[in-house]
Amino acid sequence: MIGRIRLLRQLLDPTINLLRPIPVTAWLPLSMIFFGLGPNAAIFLVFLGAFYPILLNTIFGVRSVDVRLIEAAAMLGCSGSAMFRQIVFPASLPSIFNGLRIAHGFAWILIVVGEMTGVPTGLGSVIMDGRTLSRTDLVVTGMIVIGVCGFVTDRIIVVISNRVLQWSPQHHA
Amino acid sequence: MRSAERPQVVIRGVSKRFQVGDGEVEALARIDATIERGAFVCLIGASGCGKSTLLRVVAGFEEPTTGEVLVEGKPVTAPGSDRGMVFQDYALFPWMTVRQNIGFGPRQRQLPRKEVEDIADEFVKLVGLERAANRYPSQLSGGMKQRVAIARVLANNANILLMDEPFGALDALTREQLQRELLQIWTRTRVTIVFVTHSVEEAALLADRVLVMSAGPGRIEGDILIDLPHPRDVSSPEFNAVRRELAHRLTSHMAPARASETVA
Repeated sequence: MIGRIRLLRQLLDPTINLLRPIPVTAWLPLSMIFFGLGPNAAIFLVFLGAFYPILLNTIFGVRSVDVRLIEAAAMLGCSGSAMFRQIVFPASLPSIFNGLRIAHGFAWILIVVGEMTGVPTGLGSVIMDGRTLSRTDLVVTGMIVIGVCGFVTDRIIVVISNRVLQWSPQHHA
Repeated sequence: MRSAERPQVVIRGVSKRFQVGDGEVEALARIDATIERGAFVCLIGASGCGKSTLLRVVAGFEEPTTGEVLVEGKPVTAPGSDRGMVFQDYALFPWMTVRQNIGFGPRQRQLPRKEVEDIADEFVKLVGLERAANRYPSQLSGGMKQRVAIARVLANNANILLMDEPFGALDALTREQLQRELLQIWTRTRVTIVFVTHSVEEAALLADRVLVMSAGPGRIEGDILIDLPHPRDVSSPEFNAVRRELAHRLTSHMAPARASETVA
């Protein structure tokens, strides 16, 4: 919607772009104050980190929908919300999936950072425990597990996007 | 020709100005024209003479600065399914298969699924794409894409086909074949066709009436009827006479335009 409606974009754009340069890690102390030491703080961070790539890529995708397609659909009797569902949304799917993949990367970083600093559970805290206990094996194992998990989840996104974007020759990774 | 009927399309005093930077460009200067039901009209002119703009006004994509366009007696205010546009760059929906593209119009009318499929299949067959019906547009050649675009508007009950240099991006052989097929479709369905082209040859081959446009600002310079039966023999003397006449009309007003350009 922000992509299609110009007024809305002009209203929201300054806010979005003012908040965006704040590194998500800088939100960490605030999120710990709000949500305390616990998984909620990490969830908030992940949400923040994933939110921007998804939002910005979606806006970009919606804005770059070919006008010809919208004209063609209008001439075939399509309008309003049907236009959004049947033309604008599928046409922006490639960008939305790009956003998802980038967001997934960010989310993964943030979850580990959050666990290392605030949240006393999870892989990140296992690594930190390993550090304090001088257990290099624990640290390295933690890293490998994180790597493998990240890889697997990324593959899952790619597989889904290849299915959904079957029609797009650029999207066969 | 059923001349007693009122013409299907009436263009009345249509002009169009575009805002370009600080200035204004007059793309069309008061155009009056009528188009009869079932006619095959070619709009021909040099690039920038406003022929595509005129077509887009008839389609309802652009609003005229003055004047109006009447289709079946009703003024055009927005794009409608009675006027199907075929774009040079096809504008097919890339995430839909050939069959889904063709069935898009009927689906918008909320017809039952079965009926939508039947209509789609019928028009897939009309343009001879049965074997490619489940392919995506990225897997088609240019000629096949343009066939889909034509079928897509015909499937939507368009009775006026607006074609904006539809075969301009195709190679010569494919173009010839599509021209033949278009003529067959036209004779079979009796839709009205308004066809924009800059090719004298193409206009002489297809149209039964040619409107010659001139640029700066665009206006209709000549209105020529071509009374040759289809299919036309491109090597016959009659065809050559028509082609010469068109070329002459097209260039006769371009020469002074060019002269005034150099003066300015």
